[in-house]
Amino acid sequence: MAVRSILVYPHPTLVKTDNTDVLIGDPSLDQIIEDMSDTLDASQGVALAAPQIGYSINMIIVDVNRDKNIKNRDGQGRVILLNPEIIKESEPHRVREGCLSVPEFTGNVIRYREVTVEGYQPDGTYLSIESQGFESIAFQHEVDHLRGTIFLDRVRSRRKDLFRRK
Amino acid sequence: MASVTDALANAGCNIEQSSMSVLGTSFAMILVVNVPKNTERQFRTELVGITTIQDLTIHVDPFPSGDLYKTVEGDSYSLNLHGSDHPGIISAVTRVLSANNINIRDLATRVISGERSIFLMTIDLIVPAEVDVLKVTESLRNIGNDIECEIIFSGDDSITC
Repeated sequence: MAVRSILVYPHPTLVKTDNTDVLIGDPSLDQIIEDMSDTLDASQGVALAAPQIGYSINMIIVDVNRDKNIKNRDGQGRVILLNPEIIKESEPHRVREGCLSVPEFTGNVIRYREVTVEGYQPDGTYLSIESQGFESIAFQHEVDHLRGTIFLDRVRSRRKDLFRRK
Repeated sequence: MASVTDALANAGCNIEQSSMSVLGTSFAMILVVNVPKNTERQFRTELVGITTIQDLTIHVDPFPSGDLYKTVEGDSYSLNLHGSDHPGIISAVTRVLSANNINIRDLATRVISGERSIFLMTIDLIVPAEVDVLKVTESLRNIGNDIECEIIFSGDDSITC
């Protein structure tokens, strides 16, 4: 088990826009996947992107069934996606989200209610997921991380839409 | 804004927090400024200089630096209100908050003028753990009925990724 430190904004790794695609089947990914999974389990969050623990590669892990609020456990369990892409999105709406890498704040941002995400599973299987609700937000947030975007970039008004956590 | 911030920079001051807004036809700005001890005289001279050439009113208060980042413990809530504009709305709502020991972190209001003007208010709140949120929700619903405004009081239902 390897719980990694979660990088905190403004760490330069979090704003890198050129994270690399992983090579499907690369055996060195196993350790990174384990690190991401262990780190997520040790955190208060429901998803994690590889750059958040220092790996500049395109890989995410999402598991909204970890959320403290039962009504938000609307996902399909733990999903690990390599080289994920959001290929379809619909119904923008405003949500409040926070980030493990921006621990002191939450913010109102516009996300899509439904997205279709595609990518590879660790065993090399190609996966297409139609996701909605809470899980859909998590996918959008994590894919943003792979592009060097954090939720602060999406907050329209720093004054009205950014909130300090308790 | 440029004149004030230039003056502060000239005096070696660092702006730590700021809030600026146009209220009616006036511009208002509140700043928390760190003034190095050896430049305090220059800081005051610079500010006096601005007020003599521009129609500005400036008020300066010393502020113990240790108090700046003191935070009130509690959960983040927001209150959104809309309704027909009339006197007493802010007073009625803040009376309920005060009676329940709820802290206001930020409050903004605006009126959308028209045949029937609409009043909008947004408040960011810190609700201490011991506050009975159901009771507050009920009180706000009642006061909303009294002042004929829709009040939405909600907690931080955020997702953390």
